[in-house]
Amino acid sequence: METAGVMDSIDMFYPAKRARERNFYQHPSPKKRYADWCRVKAPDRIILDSSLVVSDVVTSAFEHVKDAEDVKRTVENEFNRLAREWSAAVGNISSLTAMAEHPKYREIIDLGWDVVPFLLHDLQRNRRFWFPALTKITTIQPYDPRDTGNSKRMIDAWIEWGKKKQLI
Amino acid sequence: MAALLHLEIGFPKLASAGYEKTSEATGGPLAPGSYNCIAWAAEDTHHGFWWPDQYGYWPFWIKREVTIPCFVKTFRSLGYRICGHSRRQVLFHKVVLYAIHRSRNPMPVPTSLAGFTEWEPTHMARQLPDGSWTSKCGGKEDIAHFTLDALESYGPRHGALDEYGCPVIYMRRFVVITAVVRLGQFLQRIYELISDNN
Repeated sequence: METAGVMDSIDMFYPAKRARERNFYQHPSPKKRYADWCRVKAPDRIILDSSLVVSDVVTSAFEHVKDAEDVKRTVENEFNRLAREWSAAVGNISSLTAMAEHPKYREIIDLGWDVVPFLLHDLQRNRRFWFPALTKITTIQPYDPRDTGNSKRMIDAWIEWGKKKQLI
Repeated sequence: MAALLHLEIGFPKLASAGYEKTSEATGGPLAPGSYNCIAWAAEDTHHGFWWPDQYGYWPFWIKREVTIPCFVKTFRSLGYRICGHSRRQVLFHKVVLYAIHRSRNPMPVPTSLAGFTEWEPTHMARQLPDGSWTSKCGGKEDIAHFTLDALESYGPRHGALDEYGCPVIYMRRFVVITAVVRLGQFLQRIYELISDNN
């Protein structure tokens, strides 16, 4: 009772100081307040509490990289399949125009920019006829027009362009 | 001789017409040492695939167009002249141009070059001294076939656009002209080798 009387008397003489102490001990810590704010005001943000381990945070942050790897692998598989079918189908054809108009060839072109590294790699390794596809997708011709018909120089020019663009 | 099934499937009349394999397959358009039927007919196998688009080899003095008149003009520049039939003639070498109508169906062959606007050139064959014909089917093997209709084919069968249609134009060249043209091709080859080394 005496103590209470003393405290009341302190409150009476130093009201502001007492109020600050009471607020300090009764209010939640800044960390908890931040966690609450994250839950209520910003639920879409990553909540840093004890249930979320660091590896999960890293995994979620790099999910788009994982997706890109999957896309790359899918395009590669699709390209390999189409290229194999196209090669088997055009073996008897002498016309370069007919080769480039083949439905499988058009499907390869439809894969877009993602397939360019594989086209360049295959051109370098297997020397298959990817000039029309590369020109169609990239809309460029990296070789000198005077080298038209000189397959060796045309291949060299495409490979050099691919290396410059860091595609191979 | 083992049957070349990939050719017999592509050309339904080939097996019954009779043929012989005369060389191994050379591979696709960019494979080293490869050539196609046009190069084989022109007797120039050093430049790879001859084709008058922006990717194949074509003599620089002829404007590139994938049309029948362009092919005729090119082979005229190599000394050939249009003739009326495919029979063997003494002192003449012959080539034949195959083409197919855009509909991919058998159609009456036009009687003048102006009538070929709806036709696409597909293949060429060269006559051998015994009267049979030699062909290079894309990057596959060279074959000697005894008749021209052996390679006739229409479509679309497999969606592969590999039908040759039928022979539409025959051309012949006097043997002396052949010797002169071969000498010219040899000199051109020497010039290219020297310029490549420099």
